[in-house]
Amino acid sequence: MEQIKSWVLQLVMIGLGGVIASSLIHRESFQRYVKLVIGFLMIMVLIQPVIKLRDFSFDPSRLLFENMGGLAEETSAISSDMERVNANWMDEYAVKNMQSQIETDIETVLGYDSRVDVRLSPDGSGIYRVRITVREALTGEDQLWILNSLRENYGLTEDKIRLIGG
Amino acid sequence: MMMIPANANAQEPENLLDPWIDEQLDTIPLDDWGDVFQDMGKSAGVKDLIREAAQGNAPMDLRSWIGLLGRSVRNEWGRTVRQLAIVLIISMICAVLANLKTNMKHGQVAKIAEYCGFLLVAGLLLSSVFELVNLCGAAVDRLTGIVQTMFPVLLALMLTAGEMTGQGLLQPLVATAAGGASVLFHAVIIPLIVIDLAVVTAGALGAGGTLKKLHKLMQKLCKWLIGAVFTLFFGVLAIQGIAATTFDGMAARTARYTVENVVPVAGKMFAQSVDLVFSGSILLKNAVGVVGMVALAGICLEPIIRLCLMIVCLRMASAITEPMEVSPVTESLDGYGDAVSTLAVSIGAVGILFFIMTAVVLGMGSAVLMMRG
Repeated sequence: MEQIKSWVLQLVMIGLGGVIASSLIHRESFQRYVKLVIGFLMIMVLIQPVIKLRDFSFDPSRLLFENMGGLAEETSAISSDMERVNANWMDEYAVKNMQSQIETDIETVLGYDSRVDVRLSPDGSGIYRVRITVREALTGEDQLWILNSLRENYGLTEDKIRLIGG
Repeated sequence: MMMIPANANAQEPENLLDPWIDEQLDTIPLDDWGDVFQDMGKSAGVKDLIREAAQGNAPMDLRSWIGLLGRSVRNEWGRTVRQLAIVLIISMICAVLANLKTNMKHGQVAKIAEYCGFLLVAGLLLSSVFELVNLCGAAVDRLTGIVQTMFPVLLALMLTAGEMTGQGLLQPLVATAAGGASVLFHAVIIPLIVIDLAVVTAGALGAGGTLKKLHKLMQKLCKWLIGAVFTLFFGVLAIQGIAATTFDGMAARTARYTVENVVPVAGKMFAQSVDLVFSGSILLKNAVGVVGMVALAGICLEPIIRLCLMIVCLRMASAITEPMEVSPVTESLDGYGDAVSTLAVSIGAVGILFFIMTAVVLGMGSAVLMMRG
């Protein structure tokens, strides 16, 4: 910017100098020479930046992609925070949905009012255990139906299921 | 076996997503947007506006925009009229001196006085134009700042919404646009405009002949540069946007199909929760994008209004002074008008570039959602 400022100042000063010089000279033939000299000076000042461009090294790829690393890092940091929130939230959502679905199935098919509690493994490996509490006493057939249903629909083995009947 | 749909007892999706949005907003670093919205007359913070936008409320309605526009024009109008009046008074004095010159024995004194008058006008206008150049430079920095804080969030939300290909393709483009626009403006456009202003002033002095061709060259250089950058950028953006949407849409669909079919009911529940998070991410991304676009428009508004009023002032002054036959003043006013117009086009171009880039990111999410089926 400093270079531009000095270039602009040179240009204006030459222009102003030319005006003053041509005003001070009365003879028209001399005025023509003054204009010619000022014109040459102006051309010299004007082509200065063009001559300087010869030594100018410019690598667009370095300039344009220098923000890439920073952007990628920032995106990745924000994204991992968001993924953490998402993982917790999806677990919570899936657990609530599963509890509600099992309770509805038991009520619709067997007619029992039940309370289901699903716990997930802290290491994120899946369901840790499912505890089903029914007020009434469950028959053997009903228990078998519940276990089969949980195995088929949720891939749960018997060791992960706690059935508590009244 | 009869199975009741898993979401039969679920709550309404809006209510369900509200706590998720709140939690996600806590993780988003958007506190660096500064006082953009305070300047626009909004008391709410950025996150509150995003929360409202996610609930379907626009951050700024038409009435607010018109009010803001009216306020900005009213604030600048007085200054513009004052400037126009001063330029006209000095031009009239110059015109009187130019007419006296022909009647005076030593016309050179009157000529020098006329040039002094011109320099007065030029000094006054150039100081205003340089103030506008600085204002535009600051506005571009603010625009770049918003883009640099908004796009990591938008790209992260694209990742969580399953738009991996789109995110991967857009990242270099965003980095290029954010860095390149600022560099282009500060290192090329502003110097070209400053040089153009100098050429106009030197040309109006007319000591070494006219410099109209050089002035035209500067104007054309600026316009060609902006045109070339725009064409290149939007060409790449359009092609990559279409490709990414198709890839991401199909990838998400395939993933959901696989998950759904592993375990009958649990798989479906998992797919539903993934779908909900994907949709929530797209909703939040749209909200962040919309608020960001409002901020971008708000930042561009003040410089563009001031530039437009300056252009009106310069063009009017040029038209009024033409019959007075004060050629240096008329010529310079016209030239300054061209330079300020180029400046307005440049800042508008940078604003539109960022605006469209944000719109493409938002549009990409909606298209992926459609492709997902």
